[in-house]
Formats: sequence, C-alpha cells, structure tokens
Amino acid sequence: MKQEEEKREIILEVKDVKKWFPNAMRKKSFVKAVDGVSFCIRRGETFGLVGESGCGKSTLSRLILSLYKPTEGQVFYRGENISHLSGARLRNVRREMQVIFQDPYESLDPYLDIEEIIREPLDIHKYGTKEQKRERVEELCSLVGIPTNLLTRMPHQLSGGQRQRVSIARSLALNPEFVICDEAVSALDVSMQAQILNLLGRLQKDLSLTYLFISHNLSVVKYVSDTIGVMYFGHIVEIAPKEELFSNCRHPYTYALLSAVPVPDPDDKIQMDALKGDVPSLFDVPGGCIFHTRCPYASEDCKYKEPKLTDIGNGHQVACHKYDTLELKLAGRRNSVGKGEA
Amino acid sequence: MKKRNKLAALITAAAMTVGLVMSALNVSAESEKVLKVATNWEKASFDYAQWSDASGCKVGTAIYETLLTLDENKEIQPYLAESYEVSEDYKTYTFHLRQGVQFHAGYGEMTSEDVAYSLERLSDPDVGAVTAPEKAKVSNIESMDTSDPYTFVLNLKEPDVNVLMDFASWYTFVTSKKAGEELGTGLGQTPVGTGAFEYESGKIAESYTVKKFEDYWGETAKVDKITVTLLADEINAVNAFDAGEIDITGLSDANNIKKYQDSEVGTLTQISDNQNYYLGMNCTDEILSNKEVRQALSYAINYEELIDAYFQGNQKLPSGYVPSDCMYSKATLTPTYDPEKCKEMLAEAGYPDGFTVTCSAVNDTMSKGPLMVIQQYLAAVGVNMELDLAEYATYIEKVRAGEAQMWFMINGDGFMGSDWLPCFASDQAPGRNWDMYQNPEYDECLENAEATADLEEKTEWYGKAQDILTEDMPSIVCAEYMSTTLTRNTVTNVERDVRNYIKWNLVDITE
Amino acid sequence: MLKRLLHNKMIVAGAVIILIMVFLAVAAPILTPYDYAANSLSEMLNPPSLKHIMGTDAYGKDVWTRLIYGARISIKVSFISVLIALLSGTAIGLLCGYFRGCLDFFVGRLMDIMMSFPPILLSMIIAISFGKTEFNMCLAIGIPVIPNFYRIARSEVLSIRERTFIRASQTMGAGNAYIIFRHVIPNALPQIFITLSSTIGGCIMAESSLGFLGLGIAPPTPSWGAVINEGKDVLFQAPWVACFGGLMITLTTLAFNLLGDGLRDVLDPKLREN
Repeated sequence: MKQEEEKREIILEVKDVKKWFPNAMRKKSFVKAVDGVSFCIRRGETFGLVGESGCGKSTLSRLILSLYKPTEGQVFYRGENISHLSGARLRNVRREMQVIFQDPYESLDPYLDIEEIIREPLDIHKYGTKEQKRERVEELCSLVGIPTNLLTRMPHQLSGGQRQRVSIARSLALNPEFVICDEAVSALDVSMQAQILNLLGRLQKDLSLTYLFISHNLSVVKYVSDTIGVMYFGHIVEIAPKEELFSNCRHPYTYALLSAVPVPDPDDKIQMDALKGDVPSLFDVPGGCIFHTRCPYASEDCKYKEPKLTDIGNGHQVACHKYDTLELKLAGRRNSVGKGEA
Repeated sequence: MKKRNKLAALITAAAMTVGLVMSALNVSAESEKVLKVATNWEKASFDYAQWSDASGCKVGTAIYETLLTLDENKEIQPYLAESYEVSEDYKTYTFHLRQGVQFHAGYGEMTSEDVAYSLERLSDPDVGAVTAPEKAKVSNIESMDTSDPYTFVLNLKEPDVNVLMDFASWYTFVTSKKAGEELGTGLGQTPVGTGAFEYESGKIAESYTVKKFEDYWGETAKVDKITVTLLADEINAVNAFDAGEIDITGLSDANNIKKYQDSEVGTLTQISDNQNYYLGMNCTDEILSNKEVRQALSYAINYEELIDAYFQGNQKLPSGYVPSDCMYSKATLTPTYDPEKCKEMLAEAGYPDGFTVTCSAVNDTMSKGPLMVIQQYLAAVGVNMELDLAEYATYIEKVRAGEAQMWFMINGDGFMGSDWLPCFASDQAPGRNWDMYQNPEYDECLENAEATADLEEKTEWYGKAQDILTEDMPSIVCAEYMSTTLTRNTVTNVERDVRNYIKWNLVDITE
Repeated sequence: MLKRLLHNKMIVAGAVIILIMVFLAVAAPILTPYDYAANSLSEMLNPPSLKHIMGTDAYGKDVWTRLIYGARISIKVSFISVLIALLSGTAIGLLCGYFRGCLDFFVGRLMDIMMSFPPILLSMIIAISFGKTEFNMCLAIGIPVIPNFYRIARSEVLSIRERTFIRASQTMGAGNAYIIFRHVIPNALPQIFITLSSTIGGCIMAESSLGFLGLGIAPPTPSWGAVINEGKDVLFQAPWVACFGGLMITLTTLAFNLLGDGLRDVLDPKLREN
C-alpha cells in the first residue's frame, strides 16, 4: 500500500507557507494566522484538515485558492508554483481547483436563479453555446441529485441541503481535479450532513476527485478522510493516515482533541486533564513550541525550541520534542487500543 | 391660607409684567424721535468719492454739504460759502467761506484747507474715486490758494464757465482734512461732513443710523436719529412698513402703489426723479448698428398700454432723452406704437423674419418687471429677446465695458441734463456710454454747449444734441420715471429742494 | 415582481401622481388655449375664474398654463440631474468600495468636502459660475447630490464584496469587471433605487429653489420655481400664483416619497420570503 501511495502523483503541495496580517493596532507586530505550514495531498485521496476555530484553517484554504498571497512559502499545484500567479494563468489553474463553502445561503447570489448560478463557471470560461451550457447544467443536476424543475427557482426558495448540492454542482461544472470542502457540511443538520457526505464520496469515486476536507468536527473528518492533518494556531502539529492517527497519536494536542470527541458509551470517561490553561491570545503567540502553554507534558526545551514536523514512518509526521517518549492512549474507546496512562 | 397667598403672588407678578411692558413702550416712545427710512439700493461706501450720483447714500445730503446750492428757481445760492467771485477769463474762482462751520465727531472748524483737501483726494488712487474726479474736472485745476483759512481760491488751467454749478453738486462735498488723514479709507465706513446729521453706527447698504448734529451751523434737525435700512425687494419694504418698522420707502411696483392709494396710515407722493426707462442698444453690434433697425424697434413698444395698464398710470410717457423736469430738457420724442411699421422697417433692413438679441438687466423687480412686458412686445414683431439677468455689480461691469447687446434700466444723472448728455459722447465709449454710440456731430454740440457761459446758447446746443439723439436713437426711451414715495402720516414736513433731495433737517415726527 | 409592485398602495399612488404630472407636461399644448409667454396687461393678477382656472400673474399670464409648461422644465431638469448624480455617484462609489486603496481615500475626502456644503449653496455656486443654460442647471442640481449615491453605492459594495458568493466567483476565475456587473450591481440596485426615488423629490425642490433665487431658466420660460418666485412678490395681493405653484411641487415631491417608501417595502430582502 505504501508503494502505491508513493506512486500516486502529488496534486497539491504546501511548502512552509506563512500568512502574517499586519496588526492594525500595534505597528510592527503581526497576526500570524498561518505560520509555517507544510503538507502534501496525493491524487484521489481525501486530506482532512482538522483544528479548532481560529486555528487558521480558512486562511490556509484561501492561500491555497490564491485568494490570499502568502507572506512566505509556496503553494504548488501539480508541480507548478501558483503562489504568485495572476491573470490568465491563474484563471486556468482555477478551472482545476474548486471550493465548496460552509454557508449554503451566502455562497449563492440571491439575485440569480439556480440555473444561472450553476452556469456561472461555464460563462466565465466561455464553455460553449447556450444549448451546450444548458445540457451541462442539467447533467450536473442529475449528478448531484437536484430535480431540474428547481433550475428556475431562486436560492431562498431551496432548503439548506438543496443549496449545498447547488454549490457542489457549480464547483463541478468545469471538471476540476481538486476540490476544497471548507466546512462544507458544518451548517447542515445531521441527517443532511450524512447525505451530502455520501454524495461527496460517490462523486469522488465517479469523477476521480481529490479533496481537501476542512472541518472542526473530528467525527466528520474521521468519516471521510484518508489522511488527517491536525492544525493548531497556524501550525500543523501532526499528520497521519486515519487509522494510524486514531490508534497511535503522538502529539498531546491531537490526543486532547481525540479524547474530547463524545462517544455514546456510558462507561466512557472524558480525559479532563488533557489540556490545561486557556487558548493563547492571537497577539501573544507563545515562543518555542506553539502548544507548550497548554501542554501537560511541557518541559524547558519546549519553551524555547520550536519542534519541526518529523517523519516517524508509516506516513506519520509529528511536531513534538517528546513524540517518542509519550504514551498517549485513549481511555475506554471501542476502536482504540489500551488504557490511558497519565 | 396658602391658596390666597398664591393668588396674591400671581396677581402681583401679572401686574409687574404689565407695568414693565407698558413702561418699556412708554420709554421708547418718549425718549427719542427716530425716523426709519428704507432704501432699495446704496453704494458700498459712505465716501462720496466712490459714488456715481447723490443717491449713493440715501441720507448723503444730510451728512455732507457743498459750497453752493440751487434754489427753487434753479439759481446758484451761497451755502458753505457766503459769497464768491468769478474772474472775467473764467479761470479764477474765489469763495469766501462761512465762519464757524463745524465738522462732525469733533474734527474742528471748516477752513479753506478742508475744501482743497476734498478736491485733491479725488485724484488719490487710494481713495478710489470713480466718476467724481471727471465731473469735478480735477485735471483742470492749476492750483488752489488756501493761505487765508476762510478764503478758497481756485485757479484753473483752461477757462471753465460751469464751475459754480460744480460746487453745488455732490462731487464737491466738503470733508475734513484732519479726518481724511487720520482715517484714510476709513472715511468709507465712518464719514465726516458738515451736515445736519452725523454718522452714529452701522454699515451702509445694510443698516445704519445717523444722529442729530448738535453743532450744525444751520437749522438743527428736528428728529434725533435717522435709521436707514436696505431692502432690495419691494415686498420686504411693504411688509416692513405695514409692521411699523419703516416710515418712508420708495415704491415702484404698480400693485404696491395701488395698495396704499386709500391708506389711512401713509401718504403717497409722486415726484419726477430725473430718470427715464431706457432700452439701450449697442451701436457697434452687427444688427443694432443699423439705424433703421433701432428706429424700427421703437415702434414695437405699446407705450400707452405700458404706462396705463402695466404701470397703472404711475409713470409718464417718454418726452425726451433728458427727462422733462431736468435742466436743458427738450421734448423731442413722439412715442408711437405701430407694430406693422416696425415689421416693415425690419424687413427693409434685411430682417423679414426678425432676429434674436440678448438683453442684460439687473435681476430686481424694478428692471425685470417692465422688461418682461417689453420682451413680449418685441416677440410680437418677430424679435426674440433673451434675458441676461445678473446682480447689480456684474451688470454694471458688463454695460460699462460696452459688452451688452441690449440693456434695460432706469437711468439718469440727476437734475442737470448737461451731466446726462455726455453719456452719449464718443469719449465715454466704453465707460458711461453703454450704447457705444459715437457721433462726432453730437460730440461737437456738447463741446459748444460747454464752452459758452450763456444760458440761452447752452440750451440751444443741448437742444440740438437731443435732436441728433432722437434721429439716431441709440436707446429707446420707454417711459419717464416718476418715483413714488410712501410716507407714514406721523412723519411731517417732508420738503424737497429743486433737485428732489429731502431736506432732512426739517423733517419731523408727530405722535 | 410586477404584481407585488402593483399591490403596494403607496407605489401605486405615487406612480399615478407622477404619471399625471408627466401627462400634463407632455400634453400641455392641448390642455390650455393660452401661450405661456403672452402678457395680457388688462388681466393682471386676476383671481381664479372660469376663464383662468388658476388665475393670472402680474403680467396677466395664465397661471395654469405656466405651471403645466413649467412642469416640462421642472420634471425634465430634475430627472436629468438625478440621472447625472445616479450614474456618476454610483459608479464612483462602486469603484471606491470595490477597489479601496488610495483612490478610495482621496475620493472619500473630496466627497466629505462636498457634503459639508449646504447643497443649495453648492447649487448656487455652480449655477452662477456656469451660466444659465438648461444643462448647466441640471449640473447645478445634480452635482450636489452625487455624494448621496456615492455613499449608498460604496457602503453597499463594501458589504457585498465580503459575501461568500463573491469569493466563490473569484475562485471560479471571474475577473473584477464580471463580478461587478454580474453580482455587485444587482445586489446593490434595490438600495440605489430607493435613494433614487427619495433624491428626485429633493431635486425638484432644488430646481424650484434655484428658480426662486432667480438663478434658473431665463424668463419668460416658466418653471415651477420661477412661478413661485414671481408669486412671492405679489403674495398678499394674489396668493394664488405662489400657492398653485407650491401645490404642484408638493404633490410631485410627495409622489416620489411615496414611491420610495413603497419600493423600500417591496425590495426588502426580509420580506421576500413571502
């Protein structure tokens, strides 16, 4: 399996990307939304990016989409550096890379009808004749499960789930290879979430799509992803294939996240001491290891030396000085191994 | 017990208030006699050097005085000068000044030095005199002898027979040398003269007050103060009169005049104001340079209807280029309304379909009103007159530069026809000659008139000049202006001299 | 959409009055036997009668005639001037709000200066400097209200450009021009329409004010303001001149305000769910 993975092409590579916003209130200090993120995504896989709100996930997705230019670092799409592209070349790349946003209402122009919305990418890239566009739109509708009679309706006349399907249809119009789902199901109710997730999975198989699935909801990420990256405060702290992460997590933060996921088991105990302290302030970023202020295992080293993402085999990377000394086992989990030791 | 106290307090308060109000009214009624006058325009300065006629300040003759004056028979009489002598060659004029004449504001007694200073300052560029130095013929002064404080001797370069008249006119008003040197251009805000009233406070062309001058050499004024307020729109003056804020105002709108014809509160007096309504035409303009065209247009106006229907009889039919009550006026005009003849003449002159002209005028009721009627008369003969209405300063600049194609205004230059007729002389184009009319024959008539001291000869030459104007018709005289003054019945003794200046020191207010 | 517009009573009332005014202006020659410029000196200041339903003015001209011909100037001038303000103010506001940066800063300060002038003063300055043609009047009335449209357009754009569907368009590769015309303008339009209908009322009043101050069209061409200007001089002897002139202006301004209020109700997104 490893060999197969290595053979698969790297679609997206993010290399040491940083995005620092000038602090409006204090000169010469910055809000470091993304501070040195590196990972890569292979063709056909779903990379799940998980982290709490405000950790920089959305900024990262905009960096990848070239809606922001990185302060430092590069983004490579299929080997081409797209970080500072503009004009026609950027537009070409944008045919390949699409996004589905979180808010199903806000992502659709309230003054256009459904057909116009789905047709927009075709219009922008001058797809073909009117009839050809119409055909394509209908094709997309059947692909995502929207009855064609909805094409003349306005967005506010559709339900949340239907609107999200419209978003999906729109993003698929130009046959992209890579789709970013930025909290794509977070605004939907649970049953709708399941439907959309299933749809996304089916489309991935049928159309050979590669996904970057961003979410704060670990269970959803677990459901869809092949590889998972954990993000904290502008840094990636751990990357691993799904099973590996859940059975053998090495970073204290990942451990804290995993242990916070509610499990419907009355015997399950929540690890109360997995995290200590409060979330640091954006303006007062901790030195050394980004997590050291909240880490129960932090030592002097951690305060001053920033750990780099280290490959520890099995496709598993972790950024922690103590990765090989800590035993982070999740207590009382059906699908995990062993009992926790503090 | 409490209720009674409250009631008592209330009554006392009411009584006190009423008492205070009544005493306030009484106080203002018994303390001072204030004559409240309205004017529809004034110059921006009290300095007579900057005026173009005596109406530059409504109460100008109350503040300033001249060496001589005119009596009811239009003859020269002494005033600030007790007597005078004229040399045979008309080059030396000697004036013996009245002694003990005081200036306002404690500036001392009038001497010959003040008279000389008053003339000299007209040439001073800092003073900024406009037409006064020309009228006073300052350039013709050789020298002035002021060795004797009470004798003023004027030596001229060239002989001038008209000097006595000049010294009875506003441009030779006497002001204090000491005041002039001290205040400089400040004289424009706080004038100093010898008249029956002195400046107290306020701003000319807005609102100001003059008060009785106790040390006046003549008959002391009867009223204590005169306030003058500028009200450009006649409707405001009418409202102010009705509200008791104004006692004297001029009226030009026929409807306003009609309103007061049977009034118990005020009286209307009509006086000839030495002015005509002129529709001027620029003689250098392509269309209007043709005499036939100008004459033709004079037939387009329905003079009778204008006077009877529009002015409701308050103005007079035009008689001559110089208004009939002025000196040297000659009735040369025969205003005729004949639109057919007009159209014929225009066709002959090459304009069978009429033409378009622009007429400039001041944007006020007095100019705009009759002009709208005339506009329609011209439209009826195919002449499309477009109006260019502007505020006074802009309008004056334009016409003085000779840039107006046509112009309309009530105009005149006071009592002396000889002062008005030079407005058609070649050397005044541009300048006072808004028609840009240039006729050497006309100029010659004027020169001859000015050269002689004989009244009959003067009258003959001025008459000839007016005949030429009638033939050439540089302006059309539309009506002769009669001004109407509305005076409150409590104001008595409003006497006017031969030039229609009010004798302010004789005016009284009764209750 | 049309049905919803017609159901709203305020819109209907406003529209009807405006249509009547426009009809009066257009059909003026057949609605009166009189010439608006012809004096009739024997009939000066006659009160309303069967012969002259709104009386005559100080020159004997029929007031009704002057008012319906005056409607032409008043309505035309206010329409054109508000159009000038709409097009330029909206365009400037759109560009500033969308592109921000130095442009936005300097234009914003310029607009601040314009807004600090009392509008009638600015109108007067423009009218006096530029001379009295009909087009200059439109400029004099239109230019002072450009900031109204600028402000609305800019604030709308500022909020619209942050919305997710704009971001979506950008990721699809849409250029700025496409986004502005396809997305920004339609979303900003309702607010701009509302500003439009409320500003027209103001423009009609401004035209009347300029006419009243004597800065309007040269006589004898009538406009509502010019009629009121003449009427003020004879207010106590012949109140009908100024009153009927004022009536026309009041009705038209009221109509536009009604229209604006009705439009605001209809275009309100919250009410759209119905």
